[in-house]
Amino acid sequence: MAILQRKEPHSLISFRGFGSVTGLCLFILYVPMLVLVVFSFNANRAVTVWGGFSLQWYAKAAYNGGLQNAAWNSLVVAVIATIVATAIATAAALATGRGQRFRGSQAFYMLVNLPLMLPEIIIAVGTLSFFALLGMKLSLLTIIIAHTVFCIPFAYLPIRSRLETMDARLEEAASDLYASPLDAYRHVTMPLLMPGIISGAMLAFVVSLDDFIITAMVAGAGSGTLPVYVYTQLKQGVTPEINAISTVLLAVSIVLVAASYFVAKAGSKHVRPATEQP
Amino acid sequence: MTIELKSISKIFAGGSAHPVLDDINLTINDNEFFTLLGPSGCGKTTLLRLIAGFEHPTSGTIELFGERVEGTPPNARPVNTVFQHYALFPHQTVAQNVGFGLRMLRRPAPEIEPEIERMLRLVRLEGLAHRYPHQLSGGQQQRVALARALAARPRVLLLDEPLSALDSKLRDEMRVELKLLQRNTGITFIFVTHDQGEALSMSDRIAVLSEGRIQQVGTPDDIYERPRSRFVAQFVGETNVFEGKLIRLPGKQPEFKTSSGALLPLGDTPADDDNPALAFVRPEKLRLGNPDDLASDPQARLRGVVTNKLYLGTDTVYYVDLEGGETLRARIQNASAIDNRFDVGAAVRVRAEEGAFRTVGRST
Repeated sequence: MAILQRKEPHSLISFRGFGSVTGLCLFILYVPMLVLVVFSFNANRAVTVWGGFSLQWYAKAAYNGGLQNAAWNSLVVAVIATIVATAIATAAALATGRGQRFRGSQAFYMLVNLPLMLPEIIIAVGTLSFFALLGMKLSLLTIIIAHTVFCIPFAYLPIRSRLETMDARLEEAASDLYASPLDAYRHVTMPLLMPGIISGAMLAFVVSLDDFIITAMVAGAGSGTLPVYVYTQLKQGVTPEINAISTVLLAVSIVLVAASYFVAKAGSKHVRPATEQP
Repeated sequence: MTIELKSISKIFAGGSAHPVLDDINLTINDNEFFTLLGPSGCGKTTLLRLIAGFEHPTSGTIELFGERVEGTPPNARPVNTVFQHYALFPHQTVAQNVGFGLRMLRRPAPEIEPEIERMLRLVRLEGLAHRYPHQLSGGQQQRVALARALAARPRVLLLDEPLSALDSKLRDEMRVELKLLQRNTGITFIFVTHDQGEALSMSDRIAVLSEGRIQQVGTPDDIYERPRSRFVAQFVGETNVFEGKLIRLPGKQPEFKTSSGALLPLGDTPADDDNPALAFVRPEKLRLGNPDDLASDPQARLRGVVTNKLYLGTDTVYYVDLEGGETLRARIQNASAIDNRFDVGAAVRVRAEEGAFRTVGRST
């Protein structure tokens, strides 16, 4: 922020109209969500005509059995996928970021991250074909497995980047002071890595909660998650009820992403070598 | 004998074929303040890490108190380290940092508490037990690192350039404190530095390293006064070096004829050093005098002209161009106002005490 306040003569900020262009961009970015949120409080059944403020659609959504089922599925899938994916991602980050450089560790790093850049539909089709090949019946279990897998790179990234900013000499210092490898991990590596693990877990949770394409492919009958439920309801037209559900989903995502950011930020004050601070 | 290193070599996998350490043989005694001195990249830190157990030798053996330890992990060696940038645990308080080693050794808590207090008193940080490392100054962090490494009472303390991050005044104070601490605790200190002043002022013995090899091991006095190679003569202290050859005539003191023809009087030259190719003299062992006053002095046969002078307060450094063309630096202590009297352009004679000029071989 300090950089923004100190206006340099030739910085971008000093151009006339910089503020309004920025405002316009942000408006375009957020206007669809704004419409969604506003109309979720609409008393009128017609989605695009404002009929006054009301919470009736939230109440209606809360008593909708199909919706409750979908929400429960979402929660179960997200919690299990998050826990398993974060554990695997932590182990992968430690293996690639610490210890002996093994042959192909660079290639491994790319392999872990590649799914983030592949079109999701390809992963979705591939996952479905894979389950079909194994003869697995589509159910909640197949969703959990698919989610666990695609959550790993999301959890891996913040953990790995946290590990990279951590001073490897701290672990050496621990082992120099009679800590066994397990002690060094418990008392030094783990506490310092925690902000990365938490923020990786939150990211994984949000990604799992919001996923549609893969889930739609591998969901069995009655095992759809919230996004899948929303989509099926949309076939009967956009109702304010859908807006209400989406708003709740949006709020949960924003809270988790924000929390993930603040956890990572709060942890960063501990990670720098102490000598770099006055 | 505390530490015995035998034919240690270290080649890093994936690095160049050039060894980081090449056939190191070294014995370090009980209660010794031993310094590994050398320029960056000479292998001194690698040698320290081998002793600590962070690295393993490619070949050779390491004995700690008579036991071979090449396969022993760091946590099983009675050796603690003060790291160059301290490596304090940022998520632990000063007291937790200092007590870490004792906790890992599973000492009972009632035993650890007084020990932490004792260590903090020793390094004069009593009031800061509950601060975090990032709330401390560099000098305080350094003391915490020292207290943490000493708390478990190691038999050997390894110090990896621990003073390099401090400002010069604090560094001078810490030199005195470290030396006192070593003498009072009786622990063997192995100190790594590239600073010859630190090495000379604190050590009982010094090993000078260059390009992975030990150049010379000896007391500070040995290293400074009687260097055995050009590298040691030039790396430790200031030196004037002359190329040329030794002239040994029966019944006369040996002399060194520089390549420009000047004759330098030599003192005792080692008998085995029959073909030295270099002579050197420390700048502070030279005096300057009026050419006429010293005309008959056999120790003042070099003549030249002052071409530059640096006034340093305690001393003045004169640059003297000799008749043959070599430039000599003479460091004259300003004991009285009269010592600072030669101006640039003045003709002088250079007087050296007997034995001030010494020789070393070219290759070594």
